[in-house]
This record gives sequence, structure tokens and C-alpha cells, in this order.
Amino acid sequence: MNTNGLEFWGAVIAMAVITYLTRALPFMLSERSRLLRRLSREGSALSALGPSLLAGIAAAVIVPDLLGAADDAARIAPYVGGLAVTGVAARLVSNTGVAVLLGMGGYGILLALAA
Amino acid sequence: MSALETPPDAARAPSGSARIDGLKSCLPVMIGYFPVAVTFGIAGVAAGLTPLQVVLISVLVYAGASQFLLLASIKAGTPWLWVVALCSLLNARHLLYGPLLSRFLPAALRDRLKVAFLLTDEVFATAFNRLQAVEPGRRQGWMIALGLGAWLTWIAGTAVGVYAGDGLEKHYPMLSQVMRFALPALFMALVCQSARRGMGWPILAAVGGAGLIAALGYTSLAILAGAVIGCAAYRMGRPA
Repeated sequence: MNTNGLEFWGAVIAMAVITYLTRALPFMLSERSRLLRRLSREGSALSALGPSLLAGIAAAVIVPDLLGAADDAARIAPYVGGLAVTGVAARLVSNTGVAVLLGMGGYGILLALAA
Repeated sequence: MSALETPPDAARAPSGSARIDGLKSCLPVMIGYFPVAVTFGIAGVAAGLTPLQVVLISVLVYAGASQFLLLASIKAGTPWLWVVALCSLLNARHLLYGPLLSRFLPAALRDRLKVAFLLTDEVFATAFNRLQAVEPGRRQGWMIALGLGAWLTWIAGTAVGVYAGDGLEKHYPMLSQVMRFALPALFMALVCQSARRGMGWPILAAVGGAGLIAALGYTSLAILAGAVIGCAAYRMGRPA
């Protein structure tokens, strides 16, 4: 993707509009709307889409990092340890930000120990 | 704890003005957003964007996962139509937030549309847990304060990453390394928190399938494959 041309700004504006629409459209529907009920129904296919996408992105972000550090124990051990701390923290506290901070703290400590 | 559960203190009505209470509730979100936004700022400049471009992306798009997807796509040379399509898929989960929050928010559509722009994953989770404890007449102010606090923190963090990221790298290399870990940590946390009952197997299948494809070097395809595999596993796991 060329970052200097109209193509780039077109993509950014399209992403902004799509992001806003996904957040705003449900508010425009009537509370009795069948679509709304389907979307909010536990067990609908869409309820698996969000978590599955997040899992796909997580794999796409984490796996290349792991492969890049595979030969260096001093890099991979803190990385895996930091992910484990984040995972446990995320299950124990409801706030994602706090879980991220705890994970980063764990990663930092393990990194300092491995240095 | 799942975002769909109500904590025991939810029944207590917050004191003070609605906006101050909204900002107080926003504090953990702000603490979590700042390092991720700084990382986005640093990564954006590293991807070859100008400082203005990076900051404007945070102002306009305001969706962490989509913004990082944009950077990854620039790096990988992914066509922009693909990027927009992936962004749409990525944001499909937001469609669930409105229906779940609707019953707590004021009925006026104009007020709801203002809130919608600020409705990220973390803002939704915080609002869903606490909004019912706020008096109905004060909910709009509370919600706007919560959302604006998170949005402005995201923009400020991006600007710090853009303009001070280089200094951070030079003077505090370990801190920079730790900050770069914010992105994998964010997705790890979001995945773990989305693994509510019945979703464990689909998530494991999605991670496994996407991980395999990402290991082969096809990261954009890995995201889509993860979505498809996860949904298929979910359908297969449901009783007929």
C-alpha cells in the first residue's frame, strides 16, 4: 500500500467510517428488531466471530515474534513468560488495561533477569 | 471475569458529578491505553508514515486492532481493499455492543450516536459493568466522560510515541522493548477475556489454525483463517 497517495487516505477514511458504523448502526435499529435480537442472542454465529478474529490476530502478531526469537533463549523465555502473566492476569482481573500492564511488568522483570 | 458479568459493587450508585465519576471509571482504561498508543505511535513512524498521518489515524479510526492491522498491511504490502475488508470483519464484534448497552442508555438517538464513536472494547466492558449503577439522568454525561477520557488518552499516547519514541528508544532501550510487548499482551488479554463458556475450543482452534498459517508467512490470511476456523469449530461444537 502506498502511504503517500489518495489510496492510503481512502483506506483510512473507509476504516474510520466502517468502525463508526459498526458501533452506531445497532443504536439505529428498533429494540424490537429481529436483527438486533439475533445479534445479541447468546449462541449466534456472530458471537463466535469476534473472539475467533481476536484469536486469529493474536496468532498473527505473536507467532512471527516467537519464530524470530526461537534461537535465542534470552529473548523467547521472557516473551513466553510475559504472555503467561498476561493470560493469567486477564482471567483474574476484568480490566484489559490492567492485565496488559501486569503482563508488561512481568515481561520487563523476566527480560531484566535474562539480561 | 467476563465483561458480561456484573460485579458485586455494581449496585452502589457512584457519588459526585457524572463526568468525574465517568473519568474515575476510565482511569484503568487510560492506564492500559497509554502504552499501547505510544507503541502505535512508534510503530507508525517506523512503518514510514508522517507524524500527522499517525496521529490522524488515531483521531479518526480510533480502533487499536484495526490501526495495527493497517500498519501490518503497509509493511506486508497488502492491497487496501483487503485491509478495509479485514477491518470490517475485525469490527463486526462491535455490532454486539449497541444491543447490549441500549437498555442502559438514554433513548435519544442523537445522544446514542455520540456515544457510538467512543465505544471501544474496553469502554464497552467498563460501561456494561458500571452503567446500570449510574442514575439514568446522569448516564449520558458519565458515558461521554468515560469515552472521551479513553479517546484523548489514545491520541495523547500516539503523539508521545510519534514525537518522543526515538528518545525513548535511545535512552531507555529496555523500556522501549517492554512497550513493544504491549501489542502481543493486549491481544493475549483480549483473547483470554473473550474465552467465555463454550468459546474455549473455537478459540484454541482459531489460534492453532491461524498460528500455522502465520508461521508460513501469510499473516493477513492467518487472521481470516482464524475467524473461519473459530466459527466452524463453534458450529461443530454446538448441539444440533
